[in-house]
Amino acid sequence: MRKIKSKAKIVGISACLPKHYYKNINYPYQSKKNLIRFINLTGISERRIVNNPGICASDLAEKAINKLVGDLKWNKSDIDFLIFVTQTSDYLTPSTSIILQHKLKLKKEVFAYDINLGCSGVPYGISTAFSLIDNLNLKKGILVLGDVTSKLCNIKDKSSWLLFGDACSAIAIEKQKKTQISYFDYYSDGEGYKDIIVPSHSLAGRNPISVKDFKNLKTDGNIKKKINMTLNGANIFSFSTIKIPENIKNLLKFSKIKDEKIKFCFLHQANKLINENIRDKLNIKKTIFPTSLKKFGNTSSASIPVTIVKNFGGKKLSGICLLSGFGVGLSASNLIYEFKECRISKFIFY
Amino acid sequence: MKNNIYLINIKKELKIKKKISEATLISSLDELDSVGILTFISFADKKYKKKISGDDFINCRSIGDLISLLKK
Repeated sequence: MRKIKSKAKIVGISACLPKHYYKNINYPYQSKKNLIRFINLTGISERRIVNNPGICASDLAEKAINKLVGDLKWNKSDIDFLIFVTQTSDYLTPSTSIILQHKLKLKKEVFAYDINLGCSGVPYGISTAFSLIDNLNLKKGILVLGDVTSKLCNIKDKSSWLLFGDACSAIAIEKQKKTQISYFDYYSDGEGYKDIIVPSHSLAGRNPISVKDFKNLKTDGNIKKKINMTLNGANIFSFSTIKIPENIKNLLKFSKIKDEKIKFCFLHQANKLINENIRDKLNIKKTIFPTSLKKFGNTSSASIPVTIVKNFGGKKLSGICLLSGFGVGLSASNLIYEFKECRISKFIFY
Repeated sequence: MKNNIYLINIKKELKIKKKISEATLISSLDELDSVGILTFISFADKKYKKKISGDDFINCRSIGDLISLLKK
C-alpha cells in the first residue's frame, strides 16, 4: 500500500463505445430460459460491440481522446504524455499509443507507451500517470484505456461471449500547484495466469500460432479456438470475492479514511454476481456503487470510466472515491482519490 | 446437517427443476453451466461460509461431491 503525494489532478473523463449493440436475449446458442437466468445473475442485458473487423481499440480511443480534448479546450500541442492501457492493441508491435500520436497529431516529443493490463488497468494507469507528472515534470497527459474484447471471444462460447463489451475511455491528467494525497494498493498473482487467457496469439508467444489454432474445439461444454479468450469463471469469482474486499478494507484502514467519507465506489464491472458479492462484504452504503453492466457489460479496463460517464456524463464529479480494478493476470489495484470538479464528458458512439 | 437438507438447499438455490439425488451427475444438469457454477460458489460462501475455488469444483462429478465441499 502506498500513500502518494502528487501534484497530478484528474481533470476530465470521456468514453467512446461502438454504435452497434447486441441484446443477450437474442443469443442463438442458449435456451431462452437459460438466457433469462444469465441476464438476471450477471446483470448484463446488452453490450456494445464492434461489428466491423476494421475497427480497433485505437479507433475508439482516438474518438474518446478527441472528445475529451475538445471538451476541456486543451491544445493538443500541450499534451506531454499518452499512455494506452490495452490488451487488444492494433499490432503486437509497435505500441498503439505511438500510432495514436500520429493519428492525433500530437507533438513528436510526447512520452508514449502501452501498458498490457486488463480489468485492473485504471488504478495502475493513474499511478503511472501521476509518477510521470511528479518525476518527469510533465504538465498534461492522457491516459486512455480500453479493449475490443468481443473480437477475442468465440460467439459459440457462452461463458465469455455474453459478458464482454467493447469500449475505450480517456482520462485527462494535469499538473496543479497544490499537492494532493491519494492511496494506492497493487496486487499480482501470476499463479492464476490461465484463468483469463488467450492461449495462442503470435509466432513469438508461449504457444506459437499455427493453423490448428483456428479450429473450433469443444471444452467444458463450450466451443472456442486457441486464439479465443478462455475464462475460468469460478476461479475469477473466488479471487474477486475473497481478495478484493480484503484489499479494499486494508487500504481504507491504511488511509484512515472513514467508510462514510467515501462518496462513490467505482468497482470494475465484472458481473453483477461478483460486484454485489464484493459490495456486500464492505461496510459501505450499498447506494454508492454506480454500475454500467446492464447496457454495456464487462468493458475491461474501460469499465470504471464508462461507469463514471454513464452516471455523471455532462456533469462534474467531486468527492472522495474508491476505484477498484481486478481481473486478468490475476491482477488487482485499488485507489482512493478525491475528485475535484472533474469534467465528465457525455458518451460518444462510433 | 443431514445431506438431504443440503440437497434441498442446492436444488432451491440453483432453481433445478428435475428431481436430484447425491448420485445425480453435474453434467446432466443444464442449471450447472458457467453461471450456475458461480451461483453455487456464491451460495457456498454466503450460506455456509465455505470458500470454493474453480479448481475444487472441477474435481466434482456429482451432487454428492458438491455436498462434500459444503461439509468440508
